[in-house]
Amino acid sequence: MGTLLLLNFSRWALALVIALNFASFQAYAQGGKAEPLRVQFQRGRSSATIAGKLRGDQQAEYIAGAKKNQKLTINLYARPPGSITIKVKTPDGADLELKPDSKQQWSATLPGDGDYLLLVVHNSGNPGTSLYKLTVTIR
Amino acid sequence: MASVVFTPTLRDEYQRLFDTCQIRLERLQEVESLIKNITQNRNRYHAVGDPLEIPWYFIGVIHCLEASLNFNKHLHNGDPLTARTVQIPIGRPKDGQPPFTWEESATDALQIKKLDQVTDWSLPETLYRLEAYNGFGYRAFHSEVLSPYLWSFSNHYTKGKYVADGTFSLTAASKQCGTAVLLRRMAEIGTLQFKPDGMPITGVGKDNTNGNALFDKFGPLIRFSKKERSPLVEEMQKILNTFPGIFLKVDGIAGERTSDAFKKVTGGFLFGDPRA
Repeated sequence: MGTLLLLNFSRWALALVIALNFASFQAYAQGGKAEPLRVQFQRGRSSATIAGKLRGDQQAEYIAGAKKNQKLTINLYARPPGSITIKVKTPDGADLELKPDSKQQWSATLPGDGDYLLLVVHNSGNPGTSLYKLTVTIR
Repeated sequence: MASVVFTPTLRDEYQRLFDTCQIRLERLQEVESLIKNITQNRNRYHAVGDPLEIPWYFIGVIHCLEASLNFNKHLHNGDPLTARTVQIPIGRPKDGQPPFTWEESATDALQIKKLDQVTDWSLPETLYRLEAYNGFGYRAFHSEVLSPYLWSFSNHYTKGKYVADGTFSLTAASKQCGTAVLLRRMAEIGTLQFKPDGMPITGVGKDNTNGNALFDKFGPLIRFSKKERSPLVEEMQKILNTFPGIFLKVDGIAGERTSDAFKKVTGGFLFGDPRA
């Protein structure tokens, strides 16, 4: 299972590098919209998966709406492993304490209604570009 | 993401930043080159802006930031007009078929932001709308960074930038001139002029580029008066106090003592002083 997951991740990572290569060149030249991207859940689904790449001190910012006492679960796969971390802020701007469920999964019960800010942060000490796949589940 | 409401505090902040904006000298030539390009195309910006009642210069400076003044790109985000947009906002314009004309795409870009419904185009509100066009992420999540979309190339900005949609870097620095900086230089050279309440004087720069339109239409900004208080008078009194031998109470009233001090510095009394 672990090997299969790694294999899938490698294919996904390669495809992502190719797909993002041209788009990112444009983005770095011109900049981008200055606000977090909203996590889009398909109708009837409680999970959404996002992929991207980061380098230097970059952080990808996402917003997800949720209600008090819902459970937030985050799965984060990074390549190279450990080069990217996740932080979550509550609608009040406080840090949300995430409980590690495994090496790549964290969860928390949400303290209030509103938009939660998810920060996918590249470890600036890590050279080069890192790839990530983030799955957000809110139940 | 919660929207940012335009409050009197925000109005004051935008006005103060604009008033204290200093363009970096090493960037001045580049800024002037951009303004020359924008003003050369003002008829195209008018053609889109006038039916929507949006000022031409607002469209011009957005065009500069979003599409590097290229009329083959969407005003939304700089994607090519040969297809619908692929970056945020994605899939615009919804109606019609590509390739789009710059004018039809620009109209869509402005309408989806509801800029055609804006009635207050005072300078502070204009700056607010410009920041909104790019996003309030700096203000909401990186308050240590004033938006480079407005202030890049000025004393108000050094580094920190959204390098792609929703991706921020504290060390990245914008290589583009900010929209407020462009407007500031336009105001400095007389292409744009604003009344004391921040409202633009329309028609300036078409046939009057010598910077006197404000005076011609409204007279001097400061007049002799023993009763009226004005923040402009306060500012002038502060400046007069920096000259040797002048000691004025900063009360915002341009009375005889202020007029005397003004005469010491300039050789003449304030406009409207009966002693003049």
